[in-house]
Amino acid sequence: MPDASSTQDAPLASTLTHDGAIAPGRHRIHPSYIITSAARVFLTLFISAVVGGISSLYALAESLQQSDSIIMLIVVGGILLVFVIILGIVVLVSWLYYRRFSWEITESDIHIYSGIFMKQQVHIPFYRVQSIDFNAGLIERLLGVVRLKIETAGGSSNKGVLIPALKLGEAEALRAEAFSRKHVQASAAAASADKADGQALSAPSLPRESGVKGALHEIENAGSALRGVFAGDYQESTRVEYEYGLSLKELLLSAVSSDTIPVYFLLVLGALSQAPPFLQLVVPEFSMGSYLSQALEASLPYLVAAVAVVMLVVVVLAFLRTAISYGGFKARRRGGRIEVERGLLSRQYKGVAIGRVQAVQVRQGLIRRLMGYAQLKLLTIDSADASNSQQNSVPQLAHGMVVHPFVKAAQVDAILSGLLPEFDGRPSLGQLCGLVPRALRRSFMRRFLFPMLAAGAALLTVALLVPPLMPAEFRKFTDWALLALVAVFCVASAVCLVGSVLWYRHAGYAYNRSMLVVRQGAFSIETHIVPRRKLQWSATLQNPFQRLGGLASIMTCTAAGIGGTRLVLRDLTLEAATGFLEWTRPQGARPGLSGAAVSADKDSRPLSG
Amino acid sequence: MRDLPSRRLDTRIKRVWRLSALIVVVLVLLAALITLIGIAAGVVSELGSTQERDTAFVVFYSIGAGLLAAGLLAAVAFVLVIPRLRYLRWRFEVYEEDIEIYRGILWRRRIVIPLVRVQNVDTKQGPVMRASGLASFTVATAAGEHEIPGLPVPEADELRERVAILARIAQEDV
Repeated sequence: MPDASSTQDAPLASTLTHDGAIAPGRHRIHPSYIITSAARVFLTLFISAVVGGISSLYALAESLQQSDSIIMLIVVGGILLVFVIILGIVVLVSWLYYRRFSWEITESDIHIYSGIFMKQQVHIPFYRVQSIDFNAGLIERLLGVVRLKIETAGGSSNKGVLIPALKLGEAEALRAEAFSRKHVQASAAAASADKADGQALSAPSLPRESGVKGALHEIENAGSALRGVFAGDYQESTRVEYEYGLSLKELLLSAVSSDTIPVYFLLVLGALSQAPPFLQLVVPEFSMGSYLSQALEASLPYLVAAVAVVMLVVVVLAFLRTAISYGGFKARRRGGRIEVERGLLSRQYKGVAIGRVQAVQVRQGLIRRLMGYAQLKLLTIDSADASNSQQNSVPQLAHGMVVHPFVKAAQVDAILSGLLPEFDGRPSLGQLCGLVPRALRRSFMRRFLFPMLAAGAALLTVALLVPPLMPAEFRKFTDWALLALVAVFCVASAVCLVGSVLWYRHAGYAYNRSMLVVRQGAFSIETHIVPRRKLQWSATLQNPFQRLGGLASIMTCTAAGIGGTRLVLRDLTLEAATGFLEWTRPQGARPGLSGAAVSADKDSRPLSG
Repeated sequence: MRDLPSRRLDTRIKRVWRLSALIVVVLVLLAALITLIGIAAGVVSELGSTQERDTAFVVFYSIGAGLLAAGLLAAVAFVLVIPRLRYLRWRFEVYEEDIEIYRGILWRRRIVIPLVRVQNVDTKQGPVMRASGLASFTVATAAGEHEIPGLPVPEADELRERVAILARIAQEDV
């Protein structure tokens, strides 16, 4: 075993052996790391410098126009020199980091040695490895290099570990190796627990010289009981059983129906509001006053054209974003894992073990629902990850894993049974039980009456208190503002009223021996499918109003996300809620005790899917 | 269908809740009063005429009195009324395969924690609890933990051992 202090002397031997396995010994990362890392850091610095100093640059340029050309040259040269020095430092640091970074696979763990001044050694036992994901930026894709992230078993204290540059082939070999070693350790542990003698099954006693792949064969030959289990597993873990992509039409439609469209409107409007100062910078004689008066003078067709342009920009932006993040989307089932790869410019390769999937979420935003499409997402156990913020530019993907961004609602069942046959045998949407009519009253109170009473009281207070405080010349303005507020209030109440009825009509649930299905939502609908054995704990809740009406909410908690995710459905009858709670008990699903039938609310009506 | 759980907490837990609530109320009240005195001193020193000072004194005295009254009200509610109600409403039961808790004064919740999901169990004692010879018993699942607050120490220890054994028997992976 090499000494830890000689990290910079990483071997020059090739990482992969001739048969595609990871060679023994320490390996460096790909040298492209120096370029990509330096470029990333430098670009960030550069952009923040430019954004921060744009006005001072302008002032500088203005003063330079009036001064000597020699001083100008000196200043420009100085700025360039500073940039060159910074670039040099960044490259040097990246190079040092590259020199000191090495990784190694042993019989029992992955070792990672890193750090320029603070030496760091991380050992990750294979059995702790939960997922190995890849990411590739634009430059990295051109070079065929990925960043590899190893996630260990859950909890907020377990952060992911990063190997910042590996050839895609190396990364795949490492992933395959790690997961097969994990199987070996698991089955070896099981085998040695079964047999007291445990004869030479533990991985560390194996010879290292033959390489890890060699070690695998050794293990396969070591014990007959083990070989059977392991061989089967290994074959399975490499075969793709089910795969699908995303057609161009689906990509386009998914962009157009995206829930984030309003965000883009705001962004475009924000950018437009920045336009006058920018124009002023470029054209000094441009003034805000003349701009405004011109805008006011502009006739209707121009305004319409402007709105149309904004709409077009929004749609194009949304499409670009979707195309960039979901271009080349592929999801597949391979053995005990589900893998997703996506991204047009930068590419992500993400995988999750089936055991970590806690629930399936079918989400239909308003537009998608009207079009008959949905988004399919796996809710998984996530681990807190420090590097997440810079790598996951798409916030909605931070938790869970989208396995289909845009699927026809009618095809959800087919896709799920291909990707996740473990979730077969769930109650179908057509079997959902709706809520009793009393729940409509509660929905009306909760979603319409209470919020609108509160908002109305606030509005009344503002209307009574603010105008007398205002000076006389602002009266007209405050009158208009109040009128606008009242209009917003009316629209909001109408929306809430419709929403309360819609919520009642959409809410539904069903459970059978093994699965729970809960659907709810007013304008957009979320359906959760949760296996019974993933429910950590459950509860019924009753507030005073519900007690008066004989209603109760059900709540159940899975380990998805970080520290758990709650799922609540409000306003079942108390009997139905208690029945659900009985079902969540360990003996609840056993036949004969409470039956395996789909839940039946005494006076509920069947819902159509 | 099973009945609601019937096992109660130890009656001494009321004393613990009362004492803790009293400490919090007194501390908050003290902090508020000290802040008030600080502000008052600052404002009064800025004021010139005696008349203005007198008005300021009246204002600050009434605010202080209001704070004291609010503190008294909070003390009555949190020290006298709520612990009693909470104790009356707190029930739990440990069955062969699950733990059940039923609690809440206005918002009532009935929680079922299957023992197969229990990841670890522990007992804790704060200083106030220790003075009363009580301990709280906590079960943690992969999605949060639940506490049964007031049990006599031997009972809490016995419960911890029992649940740990039951949970181990019923263990599956997450």
